[in-house]
Amino acid sequence: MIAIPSALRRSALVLLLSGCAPLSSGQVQTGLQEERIYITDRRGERFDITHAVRHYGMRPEGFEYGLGKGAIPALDHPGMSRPGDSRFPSPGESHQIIGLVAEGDARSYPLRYLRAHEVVNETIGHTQAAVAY
Amino acid sequence: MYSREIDGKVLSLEASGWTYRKTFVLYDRETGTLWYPLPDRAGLTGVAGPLEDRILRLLPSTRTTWQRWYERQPESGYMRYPGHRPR
Repeated sequence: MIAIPSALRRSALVLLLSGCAPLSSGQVQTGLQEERIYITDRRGERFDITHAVRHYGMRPEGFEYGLGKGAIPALDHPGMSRPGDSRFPSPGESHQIIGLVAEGDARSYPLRYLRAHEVVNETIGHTQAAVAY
Repeated sequence: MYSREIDGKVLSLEASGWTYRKTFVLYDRETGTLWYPLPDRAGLTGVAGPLEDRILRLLPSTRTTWQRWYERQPESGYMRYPGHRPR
């Protein structure tokens, strides 16, 4: 058995992987046991998912799309409209909302707004919350 | 809905652009940690990054129709969409 220097082994492995069909989300690079596992999104940003894979058993191929941070921007502290505001919905409207009550303050977040942003970062009194769809 | 506070630090969460099993993978802008709702754990788990293995706990929320919600919570606010200026 020939002892192959580790540097050569790594470059051989990278060559082997670059010949594979690319994933829908970008290239997966992996290597020897002590090395890191990365996924790269379509903007070229690299994410180190080594811990997610090794500790939580997540599969690198299971990460899809890789649209990039900011492609789906979160909303921060959007504010609430109240009865009397022109956009306050009439009581009979049946669209879906996520409702919450924190520190006596009731707020609602329409799913139609959430779908485009996924996350709304909120502060309700002392409660720091992320409303996620 | 999740708490976005850990050790007194407030995180700003956002979609990372990735999905995993059709569910959005989030990240926080402060540390870059990736957050995911693992099936066997309530809340969001830091799966990779500086806050890995930490948990952002689930907070109570209700998914329902506006009509039903407003009946129970007649004082409720309704989220303002950015760009919609109050008139």
